[in-house]
Amino acid sequence: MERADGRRPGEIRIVRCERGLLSRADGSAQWTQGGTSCLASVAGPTQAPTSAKEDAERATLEVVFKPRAGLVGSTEKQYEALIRRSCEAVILAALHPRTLIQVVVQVVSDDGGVLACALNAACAALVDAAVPLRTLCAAVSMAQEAGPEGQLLLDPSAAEAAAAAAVGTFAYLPLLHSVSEEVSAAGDSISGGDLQLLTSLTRGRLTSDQLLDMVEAGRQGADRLAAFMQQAARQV
Amino acid sequence: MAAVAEQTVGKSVCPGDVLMSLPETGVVRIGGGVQQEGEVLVATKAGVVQQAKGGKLWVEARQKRYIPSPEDVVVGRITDKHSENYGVDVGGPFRALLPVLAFEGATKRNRPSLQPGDLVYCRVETAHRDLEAQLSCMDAAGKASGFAHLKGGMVVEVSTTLARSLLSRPPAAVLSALGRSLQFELAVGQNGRVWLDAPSPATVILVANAIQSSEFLSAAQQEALVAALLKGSSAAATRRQQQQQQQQQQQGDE
Repeated sequence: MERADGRRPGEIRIVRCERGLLSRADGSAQWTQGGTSCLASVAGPTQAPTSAKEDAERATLEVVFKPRAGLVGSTEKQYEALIRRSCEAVILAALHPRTLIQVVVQVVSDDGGVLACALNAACAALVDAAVPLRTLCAAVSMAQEAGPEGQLLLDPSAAEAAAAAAVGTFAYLPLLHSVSEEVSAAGDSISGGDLQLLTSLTRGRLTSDQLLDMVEAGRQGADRLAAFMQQAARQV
Repeated sequence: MAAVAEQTVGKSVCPGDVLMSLPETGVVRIGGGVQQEGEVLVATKAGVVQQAKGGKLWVEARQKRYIPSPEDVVVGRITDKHSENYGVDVGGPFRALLPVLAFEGATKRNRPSLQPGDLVYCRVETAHRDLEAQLSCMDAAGKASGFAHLKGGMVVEVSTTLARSLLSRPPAAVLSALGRSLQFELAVGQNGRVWLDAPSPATVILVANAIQSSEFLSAAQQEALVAALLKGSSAAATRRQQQQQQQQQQQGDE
């Protein structure tokens, strides 16, 4: 069954990634998914301005989430914490002790799935700033339509998310990808052969089966998104 | 080991890409942007895989923030002055230290006098993530060998990748093309700072423009860029005039 914008249930909107837009930041990226767009900038690793933000063992990560309009509320604070914890999982923070890495995400336009878009933008900006990362991180949003016949929708628009019984955002870590064919066998053995679920945030009513279906469908979407992200990152 | 590494050298990678599996025996040296994860080497930065002559494998990432690494040559700016050390900003997360005695022939009585704001061309002697980097204005043998206080001139910022290509041998096409028709002095730091000086400000600006726009161009394109810049520049015109005058003088002398 087709969706309002002509997509199939498991289809992502058109994805676009631009890196290095800001001249004064150490790294920046704009990530666009359909009508949703986020601009992320990275400053650092720099000297922590106060000793409260300094960790003798690793780099501290600070995330600022700026909504498109209006004041920062509890939702934004929750997003900030979620993006920070997800990025902390991929950054090799021990390589730059006592430093601060600041990530600022500005929402440019919001048509649903803004948290997933912000996570992808933050990851692309970290790649652009050449902050050492364990791997990339790809995030997707999902919606469960209301009713017994309700479908699982990948990357819902704002209207679809508003009509849905539940929405969720999931971030995954892609597999270790081998450059040459010869070592691919070794690469597969470490990663366990699947995308790892890193972060999940859901809102609304879901049965546990529906949640598991959502995680699985999100994994398939994130797999394609991660492939795009890797390709975008490899372009010098 | 060499066989596996050869396949990956020159390829573009992104964080999480497996570069090679570790050999059963032997030593593998890794530089920036590469990490060991169990039995394999994994890239941690997006960039091009490079291998040094000694076999060191690293990922050349285009970055603006400089992370000090031993034996790099850098252009630093003096930020503060103490009895034993100068504090130097090299563009890294922390300031670096340049001992006042780390100059050729410096003694406790006869030491160079640098002021905050002065520029120095120096070498990173030690760099450790937990300590401030130590700089030196001498090579390993204790000779100045080009490292010095940079007087006058101008500094332009470029990416670390461009700085490395400007330092490569044979020289980058843009530099040899500029050198054929202009007179200028240049010091390239691996921290992405390029110091320039020339007799006329017009030349400095021309060279700065040429270097900054040369990053994503091929050798032939760089030559064309320099030719186009020289065509419209007054600096080159005055130099051509000088050369013509000299030739006329020589002809007159004969």
